[in-house]
Amino acid sequence: MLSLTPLEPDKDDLYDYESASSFKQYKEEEQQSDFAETVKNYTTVLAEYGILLEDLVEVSPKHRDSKATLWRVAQEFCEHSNLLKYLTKTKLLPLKELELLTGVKRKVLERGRKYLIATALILSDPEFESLKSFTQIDSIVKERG
Amino acid sequence: MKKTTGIVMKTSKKATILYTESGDYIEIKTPKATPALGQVLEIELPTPKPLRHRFIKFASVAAILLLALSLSVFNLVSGPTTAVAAVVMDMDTSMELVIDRDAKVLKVIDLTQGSGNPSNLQLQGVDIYTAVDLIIDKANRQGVFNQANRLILTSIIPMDNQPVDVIDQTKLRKSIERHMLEENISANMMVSQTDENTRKAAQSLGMSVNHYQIYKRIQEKGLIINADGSNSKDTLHMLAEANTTLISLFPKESMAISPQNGMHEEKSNSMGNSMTGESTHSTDSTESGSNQNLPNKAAESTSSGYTMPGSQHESSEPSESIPIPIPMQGNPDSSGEHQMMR
Repeated sequence: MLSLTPLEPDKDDLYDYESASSFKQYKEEEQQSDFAETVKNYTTVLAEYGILLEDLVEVSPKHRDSKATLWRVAQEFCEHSNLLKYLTKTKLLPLKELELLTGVKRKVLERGRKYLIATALILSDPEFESLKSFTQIDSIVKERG
Repeated sequence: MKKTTGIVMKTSKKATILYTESGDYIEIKTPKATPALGQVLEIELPTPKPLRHRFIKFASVAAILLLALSLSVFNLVSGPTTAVAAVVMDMDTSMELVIDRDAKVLKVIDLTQGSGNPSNLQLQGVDIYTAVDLIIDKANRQGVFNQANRLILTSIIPMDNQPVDVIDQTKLRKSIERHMLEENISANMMVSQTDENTRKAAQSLGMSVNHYQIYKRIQEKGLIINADGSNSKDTLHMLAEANTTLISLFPKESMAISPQNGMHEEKSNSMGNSMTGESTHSTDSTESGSNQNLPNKAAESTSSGYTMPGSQHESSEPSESIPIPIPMQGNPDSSGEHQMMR
């Protein structure tokens, strides 16, 4: 009688493992390549707004509440295409409109201007979709309660 | 330590900037295996230091600043212009020299109102040792020391718990002594150190602090007969009334200087050592006796000289140095073992 089970099951398991490992490595390399491309573009676009990554390190909100506030402002900002158009055209934030729209004080918006632009770019530009996917937006915005 | 993942946004030899999944841009030290751009790294976020630690850091800085500020203010307030001591000098006149931290004269106060004012000397800023020399010079020019048995009495009074070593008592005594010898001035000299309480007590009796110290010492020794001795403003007169001498009263602080012959007036024994008070009586009664029979020896300058401060108080036969009436014979106090007024 001929068995239907593989004659060398261990060998097949090893094959599966190697296959999965290779696939994982491939996916990681692909992701890294994608991220690298995105980061390059992101850095270039930020530079058009006069923003350096070092600036973002400096101005990143230290408190969870502040960060959540800016992310919520960025989300609302991205829902208004006319405001986004204003940003991409003038490279300036429509602070007055944002203040009216979100109720966040102008002073807070001015202080977080660079971080807000960087966040708005991640949220709105399809080119930076991978960064958007990487970010745990829900958990950031929930911080504010 | 909280862990998070981040995308490498920029990397250099020293630092790497990551964009984390929680939306932060953070800078970390570049790992040994330099990460590639776009690589996802798992890192440990540094836990924020407890408020207590941060407070300690700020408190330390604040404390240092406060200390520096306090020291600056203290230096400004207690600068060299703060009076730390007074030197009261009595010769023919009485005056007080207010002294700063650098032992320089801040102010001269003439305590003998109505008499010749020696304080018209420009002494401000002059160090106390030079100032005292100048005062003695002026008195000498005015003929104060032409008379016999003159006294130069000096008291150092530290003020308001200031350090007492601003003026060196021994140095001042030696300075006066040297100057007197250089200028050929004969007188009995005393340099003592006292305190504010003594000065206040003297002021309350209308005396100079030097006069008061002598008056008190005479009282302590039971030498004073007239209870109204305090009325005597003339120290020499008071000593004569008490039938004692400055040197017997203040053997450690005073000395007789008579430089004409350039000799020490103190007695020496056969070994060449100066004699001490008690032993003078017991072992060399001939010499001590002869001294006692010469009450005005210094004035006559038969064997004049000066007495070293360290030895004078021990060989303190009162009659051997100054020409004032000798103390009562047989009085043990005249042996020179007096308690110092300090």
